[in-house]
Amino acid sequence: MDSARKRHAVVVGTWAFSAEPVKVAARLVSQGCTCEDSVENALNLAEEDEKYGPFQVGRGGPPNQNGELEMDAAIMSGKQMSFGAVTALQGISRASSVARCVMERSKHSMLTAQGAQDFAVQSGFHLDILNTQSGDGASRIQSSEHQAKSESSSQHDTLGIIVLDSHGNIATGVTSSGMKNKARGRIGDSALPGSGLFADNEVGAVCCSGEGDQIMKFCPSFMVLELMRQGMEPETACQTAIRRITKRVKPSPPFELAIIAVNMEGKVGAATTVKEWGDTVTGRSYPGFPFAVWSGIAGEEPQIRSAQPET
Amino acid sequence: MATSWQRGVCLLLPIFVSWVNTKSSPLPLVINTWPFTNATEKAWEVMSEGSGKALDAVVAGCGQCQTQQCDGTVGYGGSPDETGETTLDAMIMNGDTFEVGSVGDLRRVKDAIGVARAVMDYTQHTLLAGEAATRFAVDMGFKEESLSTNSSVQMWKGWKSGHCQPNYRKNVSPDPKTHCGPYKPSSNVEERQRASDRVGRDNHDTIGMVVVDINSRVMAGTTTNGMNHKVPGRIGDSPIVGAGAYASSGVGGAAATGDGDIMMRFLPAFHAVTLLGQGLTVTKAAQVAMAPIAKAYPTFSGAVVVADAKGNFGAACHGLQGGFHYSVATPQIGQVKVYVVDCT
Repeated sequence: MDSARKRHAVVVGTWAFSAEPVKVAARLVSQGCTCEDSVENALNLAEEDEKYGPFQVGRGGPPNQNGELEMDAAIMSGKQMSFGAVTALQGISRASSVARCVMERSKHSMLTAQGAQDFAVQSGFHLDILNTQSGDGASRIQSSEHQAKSESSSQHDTLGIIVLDSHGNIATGVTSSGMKNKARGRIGDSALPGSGLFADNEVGAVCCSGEGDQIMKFCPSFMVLELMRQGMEPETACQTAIRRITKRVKPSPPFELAIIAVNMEGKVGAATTVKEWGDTVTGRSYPGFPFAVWSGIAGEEPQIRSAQPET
Repeated sequence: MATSWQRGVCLLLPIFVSWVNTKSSPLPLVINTWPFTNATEKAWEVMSEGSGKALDAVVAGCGQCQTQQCDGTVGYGGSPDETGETTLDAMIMNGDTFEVGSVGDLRRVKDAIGVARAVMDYTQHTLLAGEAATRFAVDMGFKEESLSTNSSVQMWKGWKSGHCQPNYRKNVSPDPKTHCGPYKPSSNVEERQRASDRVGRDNHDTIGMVVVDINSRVMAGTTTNGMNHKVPGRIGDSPIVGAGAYASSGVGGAAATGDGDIMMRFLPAFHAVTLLGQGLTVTKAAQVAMAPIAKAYPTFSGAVVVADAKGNFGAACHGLQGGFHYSVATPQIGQVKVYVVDCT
């Protein structure tokens, strides 16, 4: 680690709705918090606020086919490639904090379903989402307004955050409530290393969002990181990965995939197959894949940038 | 149990099977982790039937290991978790279509690779887990039954009476190195431990298999019961696409075994197949895919088997005393043969 060279911090988040979480991470990392803490707190903000539900994030997210909310979340630290994930976790909104707990308080990498919930409760988490298995519907603690909005959303969004601190450490985290009416116990790409996220202090970090059941077949986060390791700029690496993947699934229309990447110099890149993204809460629409970037200046607001679809 | 694989090697006699096609052809090819030769043979049998499909061969080969409880680390009756229950992880990948089916933390259903295939065939999802995976399996006609055996119950009782050692907790109280749970988080979080205090070789075998047919179509699969005394709900590398296995027709396939909690972060199977695509030889691809794991966790143990679409095969390993044994069948070899590779 070259400590003599002062680096600048960077925070990036998937989709335009990540502006506030990015702001939280930016504030924390500029106050000297670790990148893992900054990632976790940013994800928590969205997980605990129902307004992020329409983006398939947190306690406001859409239920599975049994009417239950099931979360996937993971955190990866580029230092020693530490990794923790929870999948198909019910009952707890701060899934990314449970994922961090798996990373720090077990020697495993991923806990799932009931085992994950038991582990969370043992670790001091409270059940704050009530799922009932009444068959045909949810009676979750959720306002009907947000429920209606989440039903109108057909997109495969998830929140992914990358934080690079000024000491040469990088971390990334992803949280998702998954797609509406998914099968119970279904795990998407979000919490899988190399698919939803990847980080390595020698290279940088990458996050993906989109159609999880498709994304995980191509390990795009790992692919982008390896391309960066071979010397590609983050932008080029993201574009190259999208082109490689869409080439392989030629017969069908390209599935929804959006990638963000940051290298250790703080350069940011993104690429997508998405032509347009509509914010179902504000009603605003963006061309391509909008993502939020904070480029290291304390007090400055995150900017929304857009990546245009690869052709 | 620790030495059953060694016995397997000693007892291994050349197994002659009925070979199709020209005897000198390198394809079709079956390769799997460890000297689980019965699995290799079973997969080969499927490939030898004129209409044999590589995907069916993977299911049959891995299924054989599940039935025979290879090393006690595949199938029912092994690796009880902290509560004494055996749970299974498995995946299957079609390298033609990149379709994947996998299950994690599957309970009370023996045929994990069969359920993984059902996830691929009968859902638009890729990975199902926990009780919900069991319910899905039962709906699809799989039998629900206990996965415990006298042996797994004894193993669990012995572990309980031995102060629950080893286990996979850390930074909790009471001290997990000397006590059973229930555990609460302790106030300190130490830097992540190195893998040195982790398990021995008898505790992390997985069958991972790659089959390449005569048209260079590549299929891969894995099945395992994971780690002894794991925290309930633990999913390892085996059902994670790119970690446990990966397949890309016309390029090649790979499957990994070892310390899954560590290995899953490095996607060794996907990495190896990517490297094959870049023109590396099978052995070089296996070595390069394992290198970053060894660099970050010098004391981990694990291995990867790699086959390319032309029928070349190889492997690389780290931290396994006596090297890594794997099983291969091709028309050229003329029998199921166990190979050994020295570890780094």
